[in-house]
Amino acid sequence: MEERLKRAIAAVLGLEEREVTNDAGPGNIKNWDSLKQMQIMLALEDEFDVRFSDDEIHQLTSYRSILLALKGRVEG
Amino acid sequence: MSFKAFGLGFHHLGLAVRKPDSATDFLYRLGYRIGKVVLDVEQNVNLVRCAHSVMPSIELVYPTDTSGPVSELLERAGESVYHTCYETSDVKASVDAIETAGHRVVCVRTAKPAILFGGREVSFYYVGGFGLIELLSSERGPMSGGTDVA
Repeated sequence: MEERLKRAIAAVLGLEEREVTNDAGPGNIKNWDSLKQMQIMLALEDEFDVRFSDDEIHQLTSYRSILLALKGRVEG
Repeated sequence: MSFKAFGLGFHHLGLAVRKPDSATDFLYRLGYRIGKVVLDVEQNVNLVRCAHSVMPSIELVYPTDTSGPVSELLERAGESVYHTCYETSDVKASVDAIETAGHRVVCVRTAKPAILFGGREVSFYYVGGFGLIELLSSERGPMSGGTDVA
């Protein structure tokens, strides 16, 4: 899951997969802005066949928090 | 105004600029009527309505002295058209219709009165694969007067 997640985030942000570290987020990836945030979350909905709430889409603003939410859905 | 699918009628394009001078001059020479500058405290942006007899209306959006949402956009994309505004008599019904048609819609900002439109409520949504839309309620809110194009 981690690899798929990093690949999907990297694709939206136009980065290499290795650039999406475990600490990745808007604070250390310059073009991870509010618009990219929405694009990331909608891309992840398609990638993992899940649905996020509007609040989650706005609040899950880091690789770690997204991974946690995904694990709760995909594995839970 | 003729309404089409989703109960939406086109209203204007939102154009983000760093400063208004060049954009207003360009639009004026194209035949646009340039409205007064309105400070939207809620969004922390300056707004100018520009209307034309045959060309699409344009809302110029530019930053105030303090950083706001449009500053981030300008840093990332430069001057650009970043939202399309549609008028609707029923925002919820329009959003429901868009979703029913299979589009992913995310609420970006809930409805708030817009001083630029005489207190009518505006809300923002992100439509997957399309971009940011602003929905302007046809109903006039409790504020009055508005700021029309001169």
